[in-house]
Amino acid sequence: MQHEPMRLRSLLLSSMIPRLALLIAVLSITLVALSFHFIIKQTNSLQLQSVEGLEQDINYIVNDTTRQLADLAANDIIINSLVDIEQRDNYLPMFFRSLNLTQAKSVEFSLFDFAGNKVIDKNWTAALPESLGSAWRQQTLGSSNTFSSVSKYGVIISVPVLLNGVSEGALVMYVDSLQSLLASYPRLTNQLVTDSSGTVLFSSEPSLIAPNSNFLDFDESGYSVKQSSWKNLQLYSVKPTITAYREVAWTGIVLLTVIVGFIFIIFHMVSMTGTLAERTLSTLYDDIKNRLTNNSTSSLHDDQQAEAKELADIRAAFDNLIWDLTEVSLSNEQFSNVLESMGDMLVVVDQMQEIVISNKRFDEFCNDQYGEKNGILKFILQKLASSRSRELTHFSVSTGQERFINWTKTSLADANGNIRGDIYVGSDETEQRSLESHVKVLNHAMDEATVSIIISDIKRVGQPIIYVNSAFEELTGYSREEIIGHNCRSMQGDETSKQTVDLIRKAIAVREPIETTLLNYKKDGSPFYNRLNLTPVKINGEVTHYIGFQQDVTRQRQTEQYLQDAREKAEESARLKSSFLASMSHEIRTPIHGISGVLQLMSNSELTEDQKHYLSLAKFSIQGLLHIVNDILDFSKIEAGQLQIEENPFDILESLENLQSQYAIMCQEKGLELHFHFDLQSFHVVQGDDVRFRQILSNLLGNAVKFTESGYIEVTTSIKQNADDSLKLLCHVKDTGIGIAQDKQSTIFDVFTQEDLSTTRKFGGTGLGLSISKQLCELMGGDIKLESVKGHGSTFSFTISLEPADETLLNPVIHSSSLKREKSKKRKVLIVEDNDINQIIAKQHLNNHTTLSAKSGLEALEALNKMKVTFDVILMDCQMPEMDGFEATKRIRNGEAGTRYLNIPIIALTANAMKGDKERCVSAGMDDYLSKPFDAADLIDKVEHWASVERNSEENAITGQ
Amino acid sequence: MRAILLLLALFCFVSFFNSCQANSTQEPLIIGIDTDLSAVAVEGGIAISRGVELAVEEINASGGILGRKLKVIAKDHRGNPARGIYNIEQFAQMPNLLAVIGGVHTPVVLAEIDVVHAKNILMLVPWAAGTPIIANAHSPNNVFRVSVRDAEAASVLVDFVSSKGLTNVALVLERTGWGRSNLESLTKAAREQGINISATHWINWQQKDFSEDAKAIKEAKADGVILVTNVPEGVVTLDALAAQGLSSLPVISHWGIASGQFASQLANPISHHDISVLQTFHFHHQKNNKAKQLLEAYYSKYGLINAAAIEGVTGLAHAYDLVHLIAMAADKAGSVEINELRSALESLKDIQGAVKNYEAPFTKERHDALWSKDYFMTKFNDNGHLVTMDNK
Repeated sequence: MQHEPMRLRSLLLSSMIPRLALLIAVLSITLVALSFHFIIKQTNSLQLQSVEGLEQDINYIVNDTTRQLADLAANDIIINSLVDIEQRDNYLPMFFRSLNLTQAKSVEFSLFDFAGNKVIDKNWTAALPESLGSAWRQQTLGSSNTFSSVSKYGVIISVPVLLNGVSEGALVMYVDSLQSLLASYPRLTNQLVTDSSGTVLFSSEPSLIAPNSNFLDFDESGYSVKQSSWKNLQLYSVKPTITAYREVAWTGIVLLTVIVGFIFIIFHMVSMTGTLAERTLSTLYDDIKNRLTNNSTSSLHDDQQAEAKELADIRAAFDNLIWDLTEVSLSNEQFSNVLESMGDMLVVVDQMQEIVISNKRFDEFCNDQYGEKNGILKFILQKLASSRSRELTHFSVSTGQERFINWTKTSLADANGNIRGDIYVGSDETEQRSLESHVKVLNHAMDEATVSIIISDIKRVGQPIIYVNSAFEELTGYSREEIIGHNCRSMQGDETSKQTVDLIRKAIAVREPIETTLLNYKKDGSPFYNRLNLTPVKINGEVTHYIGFQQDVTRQRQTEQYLQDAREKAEESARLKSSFLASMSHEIRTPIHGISGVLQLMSNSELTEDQKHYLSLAKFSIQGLLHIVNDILDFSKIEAGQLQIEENPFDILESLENLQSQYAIMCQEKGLELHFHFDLQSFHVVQGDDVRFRQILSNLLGNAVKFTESGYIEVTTSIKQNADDSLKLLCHVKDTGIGIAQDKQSTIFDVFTQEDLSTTRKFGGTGLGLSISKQLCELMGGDIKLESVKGHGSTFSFTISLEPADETLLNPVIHSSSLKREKSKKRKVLIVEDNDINQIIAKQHLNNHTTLSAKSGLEALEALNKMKVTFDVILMDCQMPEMDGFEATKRIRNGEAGTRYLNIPIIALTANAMKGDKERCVSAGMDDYLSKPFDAADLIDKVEHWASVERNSEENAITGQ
Repeated sequence: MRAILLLLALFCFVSFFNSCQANSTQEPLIIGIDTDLSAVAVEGGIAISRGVELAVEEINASGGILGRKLKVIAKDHRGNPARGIYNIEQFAQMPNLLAVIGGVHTPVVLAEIDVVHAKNILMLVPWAAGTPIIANAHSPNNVFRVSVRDAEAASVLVDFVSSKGLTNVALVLERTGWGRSNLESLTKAAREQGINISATHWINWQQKDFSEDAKAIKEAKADGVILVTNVPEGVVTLDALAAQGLSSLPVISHWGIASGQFASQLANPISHHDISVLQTFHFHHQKNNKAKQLLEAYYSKYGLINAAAIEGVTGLAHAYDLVHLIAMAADKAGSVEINELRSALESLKDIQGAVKNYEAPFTKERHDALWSKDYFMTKFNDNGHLVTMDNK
């Protein structure tokens, strides 16, 4: 180490660079020489190519022009002109003027006759030497051949004009120089054409060599020249030598650059290699040095840098060496660490059972026991010796509970196999014990549960059942062994609802709980409805299992089904009853209408006082009858759920006042007092069903009047606003009548109930009124109550819900009387009605108008189609044989009665007062309707109204009564 | 053609050689032939030459003219007027020239008229119909003709058109002096006969395509065509008409197509066409002794042949008659001086020729020997030979 050796990098550089330099020099000289050779060769071939191109050009120009000229000479105009001497001047000049064969500017043409005399020409100024002039004549006129010549005199081409194969003339073309014939398109090199004496006929670069100069005078130095001959001409390609060498120079520069780059790269690479090797070796050296001095545990391996395999091997060997050295010193220390870190207790005793080593765990255990360490050990050894179980129970001082320790004994032997003592290891199993018992309890609980429980593993293929309890076995008949490992599907069968199974599958797929009922099959094949509650079980945030609770709900299902059937039957029979009642009331209304109409007609005739009295009795009876029928109708509507509560704004004060004035007369007749008290809180206009409200109140009032002989009747009405802005109407109707016995009060609102039969006999009535009132109250969100003392009168109280309404929404009530009846213009009315009586009544009512009647829809259509007069209004009964009013209306609206009746007003006459009648009329295309029995005044008003309406469209539909 | 040209050159050379020999004893009179011997009317040219030769042989056999033998020198103008003029100039330099028999193509003869008079030589025309050939501006007129005259031919052609019941004909004329000469006379004749000329179609010499014109003829619904062309253009015309489906359209032709092998060059057999050709001579039509004599001489010199198959037979007969006429004129004048000969020709009387009996072949005012009454129409038989018509 005394003398400093060279660094590795310098060594590498100094040994490699000279050789490389020599190699590169040889290589570059060879490359330059080669490229020089090829460029010269290429220049040569370019020159040759250029000369060949030039030759082709001249050849083409001459041959192609000759061919075109020959085509012209074969033209019959030319031939004919030789024959037609007299008149050829009329067409030959024009033909000649149009001649043009080449792109040269000054082309001269001439036509010669057989003797060589010029017949006609174009631009002909050719001054040809004698020899040339006779040469073409000889060839073309003498031998009938084509002739062409390119010389310093220009280019001349002559073709014979043949008649039967022999020349009768010649067409000659002349261009003064080849220069103007050969196009000046870019050429590979400078091109020249000279004649044999060296005169330049064509030069592609006139600035270099002028045409008509002599090429022999041209200084060829500095130019490379290629020559070729064509006929009597010499063709040259002239290329400046300098251009060729310039290319060589360029190649040289490129090569030089490449070589310099190459040298640089090699230099850099060698330098890099040296540096890398140097650094690796130094690092290795440093590492080893460090290790030896510091004795650190860090690995020798330095993985920050790539390392040669050889170096890595050296490192590894070194590592091994150091490892072996350090291992021995480690083991002692580690041994004690291991003991202390053990989770179990460890005690090593010698043959005298004295503690040699014990770990911290054991020490802690001893602290939790009564006595000192050695004593405790003695106790343990004793117990172990006496007990067959290796598990001992120890009482914990700190917790006061028992600890279960499992002791293991191992002999301690030295290197020679002599027993030196024993090793005891104790593991605490208290926690495990308690967990086990907990699991046992849960397991047992589940097993004994009365509800069927099933658990399936949804992470395994096929999602098999992994647990079922005894209740499941009992429910399905499957034993655990049979069902565990299978999928729940094995309990499903053909009748099982596919949708339900699908729902379950989807729920499991998204790990959602689901509760559903599906048809399962027991082991013996009997089906049962399984109320299934599936809940996902999450372990560590992931759903791994589903737990299912099953319940046999077959009986419940059957009960439900039975109840449903029963309900449907009951509803069906109720519907039948209502329908029967409705139809009955309709059937009754029709004759009532008849009677009522007749009575109205009769009252207009002259009658004696007695007769008038009888008539009023009859009218009264009819009113009563109608009242009963309406009650029945209402009731059946309610029963059938068809009674519709309207929601319209109305003036409740006005309604009450109307009722008051209505009943005031009746009370007065009976000598009763009638008091009305209002507390309407300024809610005069409210939203609700005015008609039904009045129906309830008038029912109660009617009853009060009916059952009160003396005293008074008091009506108190108040409105309260609820918290939610809705209104509550409370109404009391108090009378001093006969009252109702306590025991009858509870049933007084039932159907067909009056206090007793004697009451019925005495007071009449259907017994439906109160029942209807109660139902109406309930439909309107309220109730009805009764307070009564037999013999002292009754107080009926009812509530209904209303909504506040804006006064402006109130529809102005148009009283029929306000219609101008005075201008009863004569109208033409068609009455369609099958019932003769009703027909007659309607006709009589409308005796101010022209009427015509039809007995069915068919007759009506026929009448509309055949009659010349145009009707203004149609009264249409709805129920008719052959064709009912709805059908007839539809047909009229479809134009079957002609276009004039498309929009005729049609007023329905219907005895049906059931829900849906109005809608049916509208949808059939009727404009309005009158319910039977109707008043004469109503009928006349309607007819008058509709007949005078300006018909625009169907918006004049029914707007209520 | 070139072979024929060579043969003729040889022939010329031989005859020149002969004349040189004869010159030593007594110089023969020269009859020049200037005709188309190699171009488009070779058969016509040959027929003329043969007519001249046969007549010359007969004359020479009977002692020649004024004791001098006749010698024939033929030159080929190839239908090229420039060549014709050149030929005339050559003949004019011959001291013993009696006359030039020139023809076949009107344009050539027309072009020669001025030179003929300038050189003051006699021009006998056996074949060239152009009216201005005789009706020229020169006086005295050195041109005598035994041939068709267009002005006369037109009336014969139009008469024939009329006799065929045709009313609307198209003219197809070669674009030369001949064509124009006929346009004038045909137009005049047609107007006189009430025949409508639908259109005049010009055709160039050596024109190869006539389809546009044929189409136009078809569209014009012409019911006949009057054709004034030589054989090549006639063939082009007939083929173009056939291509338009008009092969049976009546074609009334001037005698141009009789100057060569017409039928064999047509695309379709000649029998498919309806062609009538104007003629002045036919061995089946002229039955006089002179004609018989000519036929026999022809047979003996050129071999036996169907008389109808002799092509350009009019040229043969016309040339034959013309040579005899000039010989008679020379005999009558007792001189070969040009003015004497002209006068003698104009005063010949009652000469029996092969074509007809010439009452007075020429007069001072009339240098045409044949007139419309001497013309007749012929048609082609299936062999392509012209035959006389039965009804004529």
